[in-house]
Amino acid sequence: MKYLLAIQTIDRRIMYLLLVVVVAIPMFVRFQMPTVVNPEVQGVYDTVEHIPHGQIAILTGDWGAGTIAESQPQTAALMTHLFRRNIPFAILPFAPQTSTLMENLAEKIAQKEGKKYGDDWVNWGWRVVPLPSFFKGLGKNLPATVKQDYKGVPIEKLKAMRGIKTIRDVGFIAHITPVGGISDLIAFAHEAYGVPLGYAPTAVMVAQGYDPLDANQIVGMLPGMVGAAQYEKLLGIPGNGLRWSNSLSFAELLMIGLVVLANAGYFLSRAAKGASS
Amino acid sequence: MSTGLALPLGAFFQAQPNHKLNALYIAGCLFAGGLFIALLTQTPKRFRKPLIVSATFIAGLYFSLEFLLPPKATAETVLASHSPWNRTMSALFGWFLRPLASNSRLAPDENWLSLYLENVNTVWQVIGAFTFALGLWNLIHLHFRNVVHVTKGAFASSFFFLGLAFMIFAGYLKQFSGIPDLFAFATSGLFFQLDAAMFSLIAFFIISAAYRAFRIRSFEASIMMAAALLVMLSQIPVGAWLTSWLPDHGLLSNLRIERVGQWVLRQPNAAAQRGINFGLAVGMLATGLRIWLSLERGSYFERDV
Repeated sequence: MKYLLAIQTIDRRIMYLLLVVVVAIPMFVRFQMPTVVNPEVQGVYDTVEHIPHGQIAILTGDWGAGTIAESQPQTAALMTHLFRRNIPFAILPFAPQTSTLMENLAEKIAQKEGKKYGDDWVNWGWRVVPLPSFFKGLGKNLPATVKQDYKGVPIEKLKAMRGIKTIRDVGFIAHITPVGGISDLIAFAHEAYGVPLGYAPTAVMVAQGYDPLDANQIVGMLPGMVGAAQYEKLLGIPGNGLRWSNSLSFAELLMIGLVVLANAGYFLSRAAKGASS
Repeated sequence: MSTGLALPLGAFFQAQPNHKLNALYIAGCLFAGGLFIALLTQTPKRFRKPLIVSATFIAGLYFSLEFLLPPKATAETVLASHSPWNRTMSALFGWFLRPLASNSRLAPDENWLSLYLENVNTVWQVIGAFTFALGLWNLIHLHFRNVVHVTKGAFASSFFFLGLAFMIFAGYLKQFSGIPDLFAFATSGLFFQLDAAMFSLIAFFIISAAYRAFRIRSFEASIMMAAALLVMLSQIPVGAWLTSWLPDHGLLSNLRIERVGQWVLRQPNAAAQRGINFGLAVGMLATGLRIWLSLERGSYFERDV
């Protein structure tokens, strides 16, 4: 009976220590677990693969450092794919942190891919305007709505934005977010102008994405860090998504193991009490 | 694109980088903004609420009408069609549809109100920026009081001023002296790391809470536990590895964990989400109408302004 009680009341400090160990080990020991690409990830990949030249993509987001483990690999995978396809993209951050984080990431990947700011990507800068009215403005006159990039350069002067008149010249929008917010984009970008949408939420928000996915309102989804890992597999570039998803796997296994252990203790102790009474 | 009143307004709001009178414009805008705020604060109390109600109503009305009024393309279609319904619409609303369809300055998806959208967006951005200034002012006001009166939180409040001054100084150095190192340290080196560290603590709470709270005490709890385990396993590489011995195609492939997880997410979960979304949409519509018409009541809406 004593050990049955013990497995139901493990000290939380032991659990914390175990979590630290299982998260840290995959960071130092390089190995790769099998990654199966889900249809929703394939959907985003195929859409980016078929963006016509002459159009741009928009990467919107409101993520911060708190969700960097999930949102950064998602953003990096999408940026790499767009760079490799020579499709210019615009960063459209809806939070001040996002602007800096996405800009730093784009700079880093651009260096690796031999791309240049202004020619291959632009940062429209953080916007305080509500998304619906902003996208209505993009539908009417994109340069007049965006006006300038985050450095204050009029966007007509940037090579990446040449020939982009309205949102109809946008071939794909990806929303990378730790919260919801895809419904506004569905209403004001996809339904209004037919722009294909991709959704890259954190794992905790994934359940929300299957409704619009089922209704074909989004072309696909990158569910959390695992979605980024699957995208990296499609691109053939093992990055942070693939590496960090090993840590995630072990952390989740630890949690499942602890829950199963606690329940086993609970049931066995109940059975033992029943037998003794 | 802009016509009528939209033309001078559009020209007024257009960004003019490197314009020789920019300094004058900025000074003029600051003066006008300050004057406007001063007038607002001096407005007698009995006029403040009607002023807010009117501004809210007009702003809401603009966006509602711009969205709901038919665009030029619809007007053209209705006028050209011979179907009984469209002919009835033409007879009833021809006074509105004909000038709309014949307006050469409008794009197919625009109506008259669409012409002002750019300007309204610009105004919105300016108001948005002012709300941040207001937020900063409130923070300064609150923490200054704490520091001056040496309250219980005075020490923590002093860190607010320290952080604010440090970030302003680092930003200033980056912007005007071309020294980005301190700003990079303040943001990427300090703020982002603290934010990430704070957020990562959730993992420890989740694991502890799941262990303590997740007991199968009822039939419903068993279903929830089974669904949670399946979805969790289906979302991680280990899950795929556990059933990787099952074939990729055929009947047995449906038992692979990633496919079972997909089924749970795409069928029962999507159905539940849809139900929740319907409820949310109705609630949002009702709340939106109440705010637009200033019918909302509660702590923020009934206070004296």
